[in-house]
Amino acid sequence: MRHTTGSDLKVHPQTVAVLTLSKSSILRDLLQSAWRLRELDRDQSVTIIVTEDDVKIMSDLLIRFYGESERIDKNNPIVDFKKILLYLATNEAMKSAEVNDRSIRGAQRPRVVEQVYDTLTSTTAFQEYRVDFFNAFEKVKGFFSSPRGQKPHERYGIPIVPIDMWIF
Amino acid sequence: MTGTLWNYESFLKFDEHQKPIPSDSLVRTLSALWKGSPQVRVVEAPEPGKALRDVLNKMLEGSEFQSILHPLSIIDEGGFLKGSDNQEVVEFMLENAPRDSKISQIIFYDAHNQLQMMGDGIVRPYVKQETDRTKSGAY
Repeated sequence: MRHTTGSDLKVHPQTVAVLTLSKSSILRDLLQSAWRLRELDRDQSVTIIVTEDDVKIMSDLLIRFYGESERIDKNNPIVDFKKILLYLATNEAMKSAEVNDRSIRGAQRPRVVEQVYDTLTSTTAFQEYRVDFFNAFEKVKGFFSSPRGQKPHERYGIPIVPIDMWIF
Repeated sequence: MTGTLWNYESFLKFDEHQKPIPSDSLVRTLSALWKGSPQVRVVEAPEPGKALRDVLNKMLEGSEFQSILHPLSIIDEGGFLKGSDNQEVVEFMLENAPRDSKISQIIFYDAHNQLQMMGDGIVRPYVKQETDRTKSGAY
């Protein structure tokens, strides 16, 4: 897996490659790994293999997004390549959305924190508006630390003791 | 641009005025795959702890590799052979190549991520200029 991107090996012009994919693969992975065959658009070719378990997961995702028409027949040992492409593109879109969301949140947070910090440390803000500093901090402390609760059971959870070990 | 998805750290470095340059190889590959419509085969999942030979047999059984003379490569994007010794995989590929196959040497990455080539039972560092690509497969 480590070398499925970036390596450039000169292999036979008529190479036939086995290319394995999994439920975690995205379209980019397929395109990058298939392009190890630099003459794929000429006489080189690939056969893709996936496991039964992963095909089931791929099929479920395709049904969830596109409906029953995209179901992959689990009893057929050969899968339509277009369905695999659709799965990989969908999986890539989902992963992109996740990293985009995380990145945008990550980019926004320092800007908000900077404003909050400037206000909290301003020498004039609390004098002019007579805001109670500690009350203000209470409202924004989530930006500086993860609130974990004030009481032991809020911080660490409630221990579960089997009923036969109860002591009265 | 390799098409690699950005992450939390790389995303922030994007300049909003800078246009991303799309990869031309991705388009070319997709086009080649689309035209070629590769066969997609479903196999049983390799069981953990199963011998490497069994996994490879399962991957290659019934495939066109046993009947054609073209050289073979394995591109393990799905991680079927994760944790296996690459040299063992290559030995298997050479042993099981069809009798009339043109393949006589296989290029692979060793445990230190160095490119090696196995042929005639000998492993030696891969040198691009000295390698006859008409005899080479890859893993």
